[in-house]
Amino acid sequence: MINFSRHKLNNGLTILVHRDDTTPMAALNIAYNVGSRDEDPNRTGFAHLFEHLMFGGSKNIPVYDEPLQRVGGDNNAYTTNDLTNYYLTLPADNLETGFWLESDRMLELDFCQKSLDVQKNVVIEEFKQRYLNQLYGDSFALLRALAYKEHPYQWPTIGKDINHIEEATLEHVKDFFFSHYAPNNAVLVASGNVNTDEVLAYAEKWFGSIPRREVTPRNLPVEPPQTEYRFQEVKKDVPLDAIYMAWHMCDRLSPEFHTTDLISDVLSNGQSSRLFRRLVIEQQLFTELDAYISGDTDAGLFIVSGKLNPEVTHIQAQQAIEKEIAIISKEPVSESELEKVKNKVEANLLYSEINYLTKAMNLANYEILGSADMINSQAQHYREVTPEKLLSVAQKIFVKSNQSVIHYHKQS
Amino acid sequence: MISTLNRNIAPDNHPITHIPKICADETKLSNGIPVYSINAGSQDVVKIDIIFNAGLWQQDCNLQATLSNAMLNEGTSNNTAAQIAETFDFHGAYIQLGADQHYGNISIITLNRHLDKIIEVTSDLIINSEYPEQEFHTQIQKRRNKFTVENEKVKTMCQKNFTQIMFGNDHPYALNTKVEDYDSITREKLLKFYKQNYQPNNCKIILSGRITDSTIKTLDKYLGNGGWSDLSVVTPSINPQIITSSQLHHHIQKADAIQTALRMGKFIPNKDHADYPELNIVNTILGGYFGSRLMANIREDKGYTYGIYSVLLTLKEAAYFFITTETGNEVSKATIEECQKELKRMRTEPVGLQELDTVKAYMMGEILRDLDGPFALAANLRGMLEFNLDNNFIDQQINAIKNITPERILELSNKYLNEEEMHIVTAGS
Repeated sequence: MINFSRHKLNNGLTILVHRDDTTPMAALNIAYNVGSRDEDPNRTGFAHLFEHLMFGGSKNIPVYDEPLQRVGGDNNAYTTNDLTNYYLTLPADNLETGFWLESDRMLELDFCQKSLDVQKNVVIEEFKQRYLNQLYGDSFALLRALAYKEHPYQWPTIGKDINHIEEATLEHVKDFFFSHYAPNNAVLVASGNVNTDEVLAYAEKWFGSIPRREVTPRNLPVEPPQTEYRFQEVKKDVPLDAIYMAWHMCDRLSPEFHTTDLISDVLSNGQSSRLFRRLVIEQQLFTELDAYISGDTDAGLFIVSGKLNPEVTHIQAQQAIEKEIAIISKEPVSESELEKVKNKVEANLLYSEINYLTKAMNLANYEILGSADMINSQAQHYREVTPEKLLSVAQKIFVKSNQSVIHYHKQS
Repeated sequence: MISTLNRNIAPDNHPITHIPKICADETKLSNGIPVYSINAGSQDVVKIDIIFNAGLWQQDCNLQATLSNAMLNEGTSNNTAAQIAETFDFHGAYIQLGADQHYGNISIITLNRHLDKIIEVTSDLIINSEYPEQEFHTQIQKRRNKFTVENEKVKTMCQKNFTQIMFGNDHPYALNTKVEDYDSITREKLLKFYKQNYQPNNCKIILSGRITDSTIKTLDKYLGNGGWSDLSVVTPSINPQIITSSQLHHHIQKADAIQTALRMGKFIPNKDHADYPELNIVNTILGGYFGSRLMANIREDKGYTYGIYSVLLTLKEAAYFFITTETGNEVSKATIEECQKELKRMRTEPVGLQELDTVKAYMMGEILRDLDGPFALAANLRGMLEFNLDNNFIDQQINAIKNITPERILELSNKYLNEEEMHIVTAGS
C-alpha cells in the first residue's frame, strides 16, 4: 500500500506527495504527457530529442546539471511511446533546488542553435550505439512497422528515420515545446523524506506563476483490426538466427490487461515457465526465448522473441512457439500454475515499494494513465484472474490473422 | 503576494552534515560461517548474499569459475533444475548467480514469509549440486551461442583486449575466454572446482532488509551444520605475474563496425592505499560523473559520443584507471586527442574553485545515495570487507572531499594519470 496525497495548482499542474522517512533523500519526478506517439509522422524522434534538449539550459538557468550537483543531486530522464519522464534525487534538505530547476525548464527552455546542434549529434550517436551498431538493434523497429499501419506506435522512440533528427530546426523545437510542455500537461511527484506543506509551498512558489498552455489535443489514429497474417524476412550480419512474433492485444486500461500480462508470465516468466522449460531446455530449439507484453497505454503488442540454436530452422522454431500458443488457447491453466504467476507478480509489486524513487515514478505513470490510485489496486486485479478468463483472452489474441512474424536470418 | 520571484538565484544550499555509518551485526553460524546483518527497510523482504572465494583467481582453466557458479541451480541430488526453478518462481523469490575475479556469488531476494522454503532449496544447491550431464551440455550450447553474440561487439573486443595487454594473457585478470574453451570444459572440471571451493570455511554471508533472530536461525538450520563435504579448502597459492604489453597503442579491425570502442588507461594504487580517496576525486572531475570534463567536452560540446566515462577499477590484487566510450569511426582519433588534452589539463592547470566545489558537493550526495537503504549498505559493506576496510574508509573519503586542494589534484594527476604513459585500445573500422 502506497499512501499519497493529490493536489492541483491553479495552472493545472497536478502534484502528488508520498512520504517515506526511511531515507534521508527526496525524489522529484515530473512526467509530461507527451511521448513518441504524439509526433508528426514526418518528424519522428522529437519527444526523445526533447528529453536531451531539456538538459541544455533553461530561460533563467544556463546549465541544468551543475546547480543540482552543487546540492548533492543527481538526475536522469527517459522517453517512451506514451510519456516523457524526468527525475532527480537529492538530500531532502535541498528539495527546493529541485523545484527551482524543474520549474524553470517548464517555464521555457533556452532555445539556442548550438545546444540543438550538439544534442542532435548526441542523439545520432545514441541511434548508432543503441540501434545500428547493436546486433539485432533494428528488430523491434521492424516489428512495430509490420504490426502497426496507422497508429504511431509504428515507430520507435528514437524515431523512424535518423533524417528526422538531422532536419530538426529551432522553430520545430519551439513548437513542440509550447504545445506539449505545460503545467496542465504534467504530473509532479515528490517522494522520500518530504512533508506535504513544504512541497506545496515550493510548488506554488516556483510553478504557480507558469501559465497554463494550450496543449495540442491528442487525436491519434486507431489501429484497425489486423485481418491478414503478416510476414517479413530480413538478412543481417548477426551470429544467430532470430524470430520475432507479435499479436495485437488490449490497451492498458482494458479489463483484459492483467489477464494478458499473466498469459505472458505463464509462458515465459522465470526458469520454470513453459517456453523456457520446454523449448529452451527440453527441446533445445532456442538459446533464449521470451514472451512479454509491450505495456503501452493504447492497444499494445503481445510479443514472443527468441534466438535460434544453430541447427534449428525458422519454420521449426515458429511451429514450436505456435504449438505452445495453441496449448494455452485450448487447455485451461492449472490452479497451481496460475497461483505461481500471481504470487510472483505480487512479490514484484512489493519489491517495487522499497525504493522512494521507484515509487515516485510509478505514481507519476499511473496518474498520467488516469489515476495514481490505480497503483494500490493492481494486486487485486491480478488476484481476480481465473483460468477461464485466461483461456478466453488467449483465444481472442492468438489468431493467425492477428499475427506478425519476422524471420531474422544471419548472413551465411 | 508573490510579486518578484528571482529565478536567476538558486535556493539556499544546505550542505550535507550527516552521513550514516554502516552498522552491521556480526555473528557466526555453528560451523563458523561469518554472517553480517544490516537490519533496515520498510518492507518485509530480505536479501541474502552468500559469497564464496571461488572466482577467476581460483580456477585452473577458463569457464571453470563462471560455469560452476552459473550451474548451481541446474540440479542437485534432491532436486532437478525444474524443481528448483519452480520453488523460486512459486514463492516470488529471485536467485542471482554470478562469478567475478575472486568470488562466486549467490544472491537471493525473498519475502520473509517464504524464507524457510527458499533457504532450504538454496542450501541444497550449495551443498548437493551435481551438474547433471544433460543440463551441462544444454548450458554449454546456450552459453557458447551467447558468447558468440557478445564477442562480436566492438565494446567487448575492446574491453577484453585491454585487460590482456594490461595483465598479459595468462593472468587471471586478463579476460581471454575463447569459443574453443566451450569445447574443452568438462563436467568433471566443474565438479572439482565446486567441491574445492564451495565450502563453509571459504564462505561469508551478508543479510540486508528486515532481519530477525529467526532469519539467522533459519540460515543456521540449513547452512550451519558441518554436513558439507569435509574436504578442507586448499587455496591455490598462485602468484601470477603481470606482464604488460610494451606497445602502447593497439587496434582491432572490425570492418563493418559503425562505431569504434575506445579504452585507455593505466595502473593506479588500490582502494586501501592512502592516496585512493583523493584520486577518486581527481577521477570524478575528469570523467566520473555526468558533468565531468570528458562529458562536457566530448559529448556536450563536440557531440562525438552518447557517453564517455572514466573509472577507477579496484580488484583485490590490482587496480587500474580507464576511460571508456564508443564514438563514430571518423571521430575516434579526435576523441583520443581530446581525452589526452583533458588528461594533460588535469596535471598542468589547477582546477577552478567553482568546479571543485561542485564536484565536492556532488560526491557528498553520491556517498549519501550510496549508503541509502539496506541493499545499498550491504553492497558497500561487501566492498569494504574485500579490502579489510571499515567505516574509517567512509570517513577518509569525506575528509578527502572536504580538504583536497587544486595543488594536491595537480600532484596526484602528475603522479598517476600521465596521458603519455597510458595504453590505448580501439576496436572498430
